[in-house]
Amino acid sequence: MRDMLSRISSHANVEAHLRALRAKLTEEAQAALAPLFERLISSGCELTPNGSELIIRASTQDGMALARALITTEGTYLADLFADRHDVGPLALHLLLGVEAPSMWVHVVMPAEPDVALASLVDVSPAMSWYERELWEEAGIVVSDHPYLRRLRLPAHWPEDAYPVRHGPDELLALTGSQAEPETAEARIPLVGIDDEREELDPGPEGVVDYPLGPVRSGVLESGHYLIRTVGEEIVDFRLQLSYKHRGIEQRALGLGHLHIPLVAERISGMSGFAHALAVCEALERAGGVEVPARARYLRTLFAELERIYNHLGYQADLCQATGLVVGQAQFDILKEQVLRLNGQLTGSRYLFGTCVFGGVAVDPSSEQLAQVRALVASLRRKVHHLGKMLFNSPSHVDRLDGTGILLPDDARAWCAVGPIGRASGQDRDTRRDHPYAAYAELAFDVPVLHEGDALARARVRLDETIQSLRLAEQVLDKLPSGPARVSSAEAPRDTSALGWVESPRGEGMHWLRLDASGRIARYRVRTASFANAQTFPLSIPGRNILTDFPVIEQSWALSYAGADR
Amino acid sequence: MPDELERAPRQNLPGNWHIAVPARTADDRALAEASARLQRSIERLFRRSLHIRHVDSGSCNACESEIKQLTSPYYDLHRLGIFFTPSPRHADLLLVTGPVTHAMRGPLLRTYDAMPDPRLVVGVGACAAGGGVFGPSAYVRGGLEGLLPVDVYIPGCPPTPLALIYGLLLAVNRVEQRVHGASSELAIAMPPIQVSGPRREPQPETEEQP
Amino acid sequence: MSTRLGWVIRGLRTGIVTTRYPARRDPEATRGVRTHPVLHPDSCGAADGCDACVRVCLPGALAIEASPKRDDDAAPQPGAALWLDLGRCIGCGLCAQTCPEGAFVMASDHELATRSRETLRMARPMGTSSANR
Repeated sequence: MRDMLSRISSHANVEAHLRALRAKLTEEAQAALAPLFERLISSGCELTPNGSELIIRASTQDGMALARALITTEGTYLADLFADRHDVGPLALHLLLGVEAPSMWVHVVMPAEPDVALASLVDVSPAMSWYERELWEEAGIVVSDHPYLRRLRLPAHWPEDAYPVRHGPDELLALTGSQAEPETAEARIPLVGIDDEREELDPGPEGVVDYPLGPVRSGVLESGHYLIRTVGEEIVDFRLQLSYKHRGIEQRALGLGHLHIPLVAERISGMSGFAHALAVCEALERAGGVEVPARARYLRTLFAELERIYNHLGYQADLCQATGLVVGQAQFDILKEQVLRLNGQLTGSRYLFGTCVFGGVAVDPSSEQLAQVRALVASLRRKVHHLGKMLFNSPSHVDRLDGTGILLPDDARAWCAVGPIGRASGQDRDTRRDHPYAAYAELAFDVPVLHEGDALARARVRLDETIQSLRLAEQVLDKLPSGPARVSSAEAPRDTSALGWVESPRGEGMHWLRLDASGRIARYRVRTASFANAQTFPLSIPGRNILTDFPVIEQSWALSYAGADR
Repeated sequence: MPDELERAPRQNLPGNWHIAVPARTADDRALAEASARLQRSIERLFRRSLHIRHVDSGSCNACESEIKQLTSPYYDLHRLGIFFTPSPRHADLLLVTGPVTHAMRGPLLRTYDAMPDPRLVVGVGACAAGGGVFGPSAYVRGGLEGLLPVDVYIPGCPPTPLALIYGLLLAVNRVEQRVHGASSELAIAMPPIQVSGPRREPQPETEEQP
Repeated sequence: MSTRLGWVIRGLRTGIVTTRYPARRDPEATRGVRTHPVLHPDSCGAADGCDACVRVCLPGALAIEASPKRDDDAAPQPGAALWLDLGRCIGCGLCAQTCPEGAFVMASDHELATRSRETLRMARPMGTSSANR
C-alpha cells in the first residue's frame, strides 16, 4: 500500500512538473504539443528523489519537438546534448535543459539510429552547433541542415568510423592505431574556420591582414589557435580553433570506479578540479542514495569557495598583466599564492586534488587549521576590497577594459553563455542558487549580474563574486557542524545513471555518468563551462575592437581550453 | 651523468627508496664523460641568464598555474636570471607541460626545431614524464620520452613552484640532483580509509609502460 | 661583516649574485603538500602477496617486481621489491589510504627533479635484513 501510495504521489509529482513545464511554453506551442504532453503524463517520465531532475523518455519525434519548443522558451536553456550507446535502441540521445521556475533539470532521452538523420536545432538555438558536431563525430549520428558538420575535437588522422561512443577503449585503440606515431607530421587539427555558415576565410582584398596566433602563443598560456583578420588596426573577423588539448577524458573514465573517477575529473581542468570532482561525487551519491554528512557538505562548500577565490584572484592578476598594470598583477598574485598555500596546508594539494571523495571529503581540518582559514578569509576581505577599489580607479587599466570585447546580452542568451561571463551580459544564472548542492541552500549570498557585457563588466562581476565567496567561506566557518567528514562505508551505485552539476569558477559544469552492473563507469559525459562559453567567445571580438585589444579580451574571458577540449 | 652522482652512497638514506642502477658499459662511461663536459659548458652559458619558452601540449592547466606563480613576488624567478620569452628563437630552454596530445605533437616539435643550439628541454609534471592520469591512449602520446631529448624531468601533479625552480636550476647545473633514493622530509600521514568489501579491489585499467 | 659581504665574494667568483635558492628556507611555501609515498618496509605485506597499493594506483606508479641491482657488477638482490615510478606518481595518497598495514606515509619533498627518466624509478626491496638497508 505504501509502495502504491508512493508511486501515486511520485506520479503526481511528475505530473505537476510536466504541467509546470508546459505552462512555460507559448500559447501556440502548448496547443501544438498538447497531445505530446498527454502522452508524457500518462507514461514515460520519472522524477529523481529530490525533485531536481525530470527524466522524460520519449520517441525521437516527440523528443525533438519538445526540444524545439523548450529551447526557445523564456526561462529554459540548453545544458547539454550527447549520445550514449545503451538504453533505448542502438544509440540514445540525451538532451539536458536547465529550467528556471520551477528550478529543475529536464533530461529528455530519445532513441537514435546512426544512419537516420536528425534535424538540426541550430536554427532555433545557435548554441546547438558544437553539441551537434560532437554528436556526429562521437556517435556517428547525422545531423541534417547543420551549417558546418565537421569534426570538432577528434584528431584529424583518425579514420571516419572511429566513434568513441560506440567503441570501447581497446577497440578505439585498434581502430586508430594510435600507439604508433602518426605517419604525417600534420596530425594536428586542420586550421579551418569555426562553425557558422561561413566556412574558411577567403583571402581578403589588399589591406586586409590575417594574424594566425597559436597554438603555441606568447606567454605561459594554454594551446589554442586564433585567426584574427584586421583592416588597419580594427579587427573585422575572428576564427577560433580549439581541440589541441583533447585528451579523451570521457574515454579515460570508462571502467573506473568511485575511488578513481574524482582523480580523473579533477584533471579535466586543474584550476576547477575540486568543482568537477564535487559534481562527479554528488552524481554518484545521488544515484546511490548516499546521504553525505552535514559537516562534509559544509566542508565541500568551503573548499569549492576557496577554489573560486583563488581562480578569481588569478583572473584579476592575468587581466592586469594583459593591460600592463604590473603592480596589480603582483598584488593579486600574492593573494592567489596565499590561498594556494592554504589549500596545500589544509588538504595536501594546492589545487585541492584528492580532497573530494565519494561520500564526503578526504580531509577534516583541525580547529587550528580552521582558525587559519578564518584569518586568511578576514585578511582577504580587507585586501580584495581595497585592491578592487584601486584597480577600478586605475585609468590605464579601466580604459582598456571599458567597452572592450562586448558580448551583447541577446547573444549571451541565444548562445547560452554561463558563469561570470554570462552574468556580465545579463544572464542571471548561478547553479549554486538555482540548483543548490553541497550546503549552498543553507547559506546566503548574492549573485552579481551586469548588463554591459564588456571586459570591465566581466572583471567587476568576478571581483564581486570574490567578495561573495569570502562571505560564503565565513558563513561556513561560523556554521560548520560537527560530525564525520565522510560516510564510513558507502555502497557505490551500480546499474544506474547519475547527473551531477556544479558552479565551477568559470560557470556551470554538467557531468553525467552511467554505471554498469559492477559499479564501473560505462559512459561519462562532461560539459564544462568553458565548452559552453568557447562558442560564444568569437562573438565578442570583431567590431569596435582593435588588434591590441585582443589579449585583453582573451584574458577577460579567461576560458579554460583544457575544460573546453576535455 | 657525472659518475660521482651515480656512486652517491645509499646508506645515509634511512629506510628508504633505492635507485635502480642501469648496467654500464665502456661506451656508456665515455658517453657519461662527454655529457659531463657538455653539462659544464651549458652551465657556463646559461648560468646567469636563462630564457624559457613554455609549450602546453595538453595539460590540465594546473602546471601552467604553478608556472605562472613563478613570476609572482613569492618566488620571483627573475631574481635567478630566468625569464620567459615569447619566441623560440630566443629561447634556451623548452618547458613542456601536458601529456602531448596528437594535435600538439606537431606544434611542439616545430617549436623545438625553431630553437637554436644549445637548447635544453624540461618536462614538467607527471604528464610529461609518462602521461599522468591520461597515460598513453588513443588520444595522447603519453609524455616526452622518445619524442624529445629531455634534460630534466620534474615530477609532481602539479609540481609546486619550488619544485619547478629546483628543476630549472638543475637543468643548468646550479643545484645538485638529490634523487638517488629520495629522503622524506616533512612526511605527512594520510588518514586510512575503509576499503569496504574484499581488501583487493579488482584493478581498473591502467596504462603499463609500452 | 664577513658574512654580510660573503655574497659579494661569491658573486665575484661565480658570476652569479643570486646563488642561494631559495633565498631563505620558507617552510610555509610547501607545508602540507603531498608529493610521493614513502614505504616502511617492516609493515609491508608484499612478501605475503598483498598488492593493494599496486591495484589502487591509478597512473600505475607502483609495481612489485624483482629487486634492483645495487651497482653494476653485483648479483641481483634476492626477493621482490616495491617499485615506485616518481614520474607517474600524482601524489594522490590512495596507496597510503588503502594499505591494510598502514605501511605508507606521504612525503612532502620538492627537490625530486632528475636528469634521466630512469632515475625516477625507485625500488624498495622487500624481506631483506636490516644490514642491507
